[in-house]
Amino acid sequence: MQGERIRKIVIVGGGTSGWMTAAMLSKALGTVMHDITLVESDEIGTVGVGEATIPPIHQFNRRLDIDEDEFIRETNATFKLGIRFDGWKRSGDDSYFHPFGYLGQDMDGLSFRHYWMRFARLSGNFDYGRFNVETLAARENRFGRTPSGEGREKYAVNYAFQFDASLYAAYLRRYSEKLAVRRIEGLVVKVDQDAESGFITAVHLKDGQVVEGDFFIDCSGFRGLLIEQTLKSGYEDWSRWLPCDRAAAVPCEKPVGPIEPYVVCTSREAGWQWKIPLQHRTGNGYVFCSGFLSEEEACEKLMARLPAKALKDPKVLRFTTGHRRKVWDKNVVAVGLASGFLEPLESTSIHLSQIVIAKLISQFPKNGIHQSVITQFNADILADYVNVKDFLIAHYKVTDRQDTPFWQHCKHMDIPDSLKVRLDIFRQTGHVHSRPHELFTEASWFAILVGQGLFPEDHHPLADAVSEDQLKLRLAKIRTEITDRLNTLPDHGAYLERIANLQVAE
Amino acid sequence: MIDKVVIFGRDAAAWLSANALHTALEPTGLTVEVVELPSLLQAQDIYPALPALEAFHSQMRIDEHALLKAIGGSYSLGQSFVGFGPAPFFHAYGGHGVAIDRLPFFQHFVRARQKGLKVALEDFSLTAAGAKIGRFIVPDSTTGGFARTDYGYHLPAAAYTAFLRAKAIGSGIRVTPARGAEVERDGEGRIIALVTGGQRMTGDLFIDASGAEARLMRALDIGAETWRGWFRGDRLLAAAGAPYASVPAYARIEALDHGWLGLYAAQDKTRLVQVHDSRLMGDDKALQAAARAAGLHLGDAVVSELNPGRSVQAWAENCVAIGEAACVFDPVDSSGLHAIQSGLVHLLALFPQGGDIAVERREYNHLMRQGFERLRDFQIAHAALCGHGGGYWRPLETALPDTLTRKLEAFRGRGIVPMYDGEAFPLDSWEAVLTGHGLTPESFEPLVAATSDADLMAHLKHMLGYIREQVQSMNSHDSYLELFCR
Repeated sequence: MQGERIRKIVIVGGGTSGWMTAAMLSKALGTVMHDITLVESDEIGTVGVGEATIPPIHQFNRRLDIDEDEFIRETNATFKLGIRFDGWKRSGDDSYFHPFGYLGQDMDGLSFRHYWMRFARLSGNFDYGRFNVETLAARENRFGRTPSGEGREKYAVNYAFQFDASLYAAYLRRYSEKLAVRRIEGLVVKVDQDAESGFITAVHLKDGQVVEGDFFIDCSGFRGLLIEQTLKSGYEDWSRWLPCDRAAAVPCEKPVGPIEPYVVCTSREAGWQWKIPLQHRTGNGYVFCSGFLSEEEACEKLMARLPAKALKDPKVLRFTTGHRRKVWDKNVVAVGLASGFLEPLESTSIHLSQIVIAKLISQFPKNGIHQSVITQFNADILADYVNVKDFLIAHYKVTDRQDTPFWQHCKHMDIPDSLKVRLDIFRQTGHVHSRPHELFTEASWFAILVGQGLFPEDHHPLADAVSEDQLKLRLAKIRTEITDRLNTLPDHGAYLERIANLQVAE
Repeated sequence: MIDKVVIFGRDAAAWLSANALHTALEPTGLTVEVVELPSLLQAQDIYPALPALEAFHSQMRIDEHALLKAIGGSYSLGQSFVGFGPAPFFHAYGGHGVAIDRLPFFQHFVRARQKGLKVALEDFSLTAAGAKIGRFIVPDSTTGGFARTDYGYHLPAAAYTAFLRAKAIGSGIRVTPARGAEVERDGEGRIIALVTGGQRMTGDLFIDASGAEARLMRALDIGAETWRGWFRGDRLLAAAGAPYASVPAYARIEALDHGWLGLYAAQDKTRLVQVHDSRLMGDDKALQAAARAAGLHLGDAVVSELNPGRSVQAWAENCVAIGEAACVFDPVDSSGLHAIQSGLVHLLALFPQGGDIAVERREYNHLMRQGFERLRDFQIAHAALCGHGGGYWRPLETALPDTLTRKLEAFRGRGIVPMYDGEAFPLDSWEAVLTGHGLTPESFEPLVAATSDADLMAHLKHMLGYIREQVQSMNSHDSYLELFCR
């Protein structure tokens, strides 16, 4: 095994993880030097709950040379400008928007946020959303794609999608099969390992087929057939920081009114509820902690709070927040639920899979597998997971909410030092401590921390250097230009129709 | 010695007088008191203000941003006139183009039009171009290098008056509310006191700020000459609707069969003024007509009488009429506060040191008459040139004043506008309005022909390009209001 050319790649499991892997591997590595097989069982249901995504998906789709309009039509996608968080500061009717994109324009080398904080203090107007084009577009249910070449200084609109994950998987399956990825239908019942190295050599299917491979991608979901059940990688449990361990999900009809270009996450008595708008229906879910709410009660509450008529009965998913101790071990890399799970509060699930896939391709072994590569790989992926974890914990910790036992628990729970340091620095100086390559930008941290009620005690001294009139003129200019951009954006629903009609025209 | 001024009246005339006199003359020991009549203003009323008001406010130490924030007012870059001429035209507060080869732009423009140029005069106005796309021009060294840019305001009247009143009271000016007063005169005819409800307010100089009623002036037997021959409107309707989502920085004036309709946006509401001839439309139909023409859902309307005309003397004995007590204008050119400002500015310049005030009075009356008549002429031009067939805008039966006729003839002949003493509007405004009404000069300054056609075109193109660039980079009216006036 070591030192031999890696040729046969076997992906165990379908769904979005499996097919994203298949598509990207077949596109990036090709099927001339590599043999790519995907094994999935029709008997195992995939966890498809109407997904939301974040902007890095553009890179993924672009790498696959996917036509965006076609992708939108095939997956019943809608556009996403960010996430609206309702009731997270103190429940009731407080609401803030975590947008994609940037706040205002940085000036004189200083982040705009500091100028905004100075202005907020002197004007009493704390609505930072007015300086972000995505937030304003979301408020008016507008959306349009910005001509390429126009960037931040022209208030280009940053976006991602909400789509039907099972349709995305199906779309990528068609894509992969066109690129000669072989799909085998079957249930894995046995896994062969090399006696010496422990490397996986083959999987046996229920119908007797044996699928041999040099490298395996484990997309088998929570149980981690290869990475955990066979290689015993181990799971790092993060429930002491993120106590939710259930998700009740149910789709409902499209509600009356405009299609919102964003997700809504509403804070609830024992967790939170999502609303994801698709073209043809809306996805809903209640992520909760079973220690504070039973599954029946959660389902009842979910059904009672739907924006339109339910299309099915609710399904409850059980999970443990955390990650596989080794995402890559020997000749197995886990993608998707097999690698770990963080609740979809910030639509990170697909992204975390996509970075594992992209990273794997960039490090793809040629002749043999080297431990140094594996160790670094796992450390990098862990860092990404930790970054998302900290970001999610902040939602639960930075809040005045303590009206239910769940929220009281959150109020008193410990937080990781990495997050503590970030919060302290922000509270005292308004500076967002972040490292390069982190998923969540300074703009994102700012949006959620201020949105959840943490307003820094001070701001950067350089923001005080300009006169008050100068400051206001600069802000007026930004408001003018943002409004100019906003006025070019059509209604979201109308824009989607235009894209749908393009195909008819063809 | 003039030690005490008693102001008798209401609203902007009274409170601008109080603040202006107090600010300028309190350091010399002057006392100002106000006998306040009940306000005639309601939430629907608007005071559109011309650019000169900014300096006047400044002298009274009124901060523009603080004022607009307190009253929900907004800026105005001019007026759009619809239905008056062959096409809508814009009267901008500001200049057009720049001089070419040291000769005035307008003369080159006349020549260019004769050569087939299709661009409108207003397209060469930075102010007009900005206003039309919702920009606000803050005059500065950059724009000033190109051409004059200026701005006025739309001031919600009731709130503006309350602001001025609070400021006056805060300065220690004594206010006595009254429903009326008796005028006590001495043997020589001078007013020595106003008596109301048992109180006797003595004074050395009196200001009649009682509006069109001109109560003190009438008590002194000073009558008014009517301008009805030139201004057919005898009713004024004021109403208000919801504010626009995006606040235009200009007023919209539309010619109607029965009168004219003005829309004045502000931050808090959109206000409307309709002036009509009661012989052409009854008051009961007037509100409907206004709502329809404005395309707004209107609240209650207030209809009052309008009698444009001038008190035969602005200053009689020791009583000076300020505002409508001195002169009532048809409000079509945002002239309401101008009469007050102009009256106060001249009064301060001629403020008597005491003793015989006949010299100051004579000069004051001469200047005020001149100023009122020049503003009147500007307004008559609309009626004189409006091509609207029948009804309100049919040709005037009364002969035009000579001073206006001379201007129109000179413009028709040669594209020049003789400016007299006391003009209310600068040359740019006359050029904009006369051109907008469709008046085309037959000839122009011959020296402009020295500029070659190619050079002329290049200059014009350059100007248009500059304007296009500049207005794009300017702040929007909305964002300026949001950051500075809210």
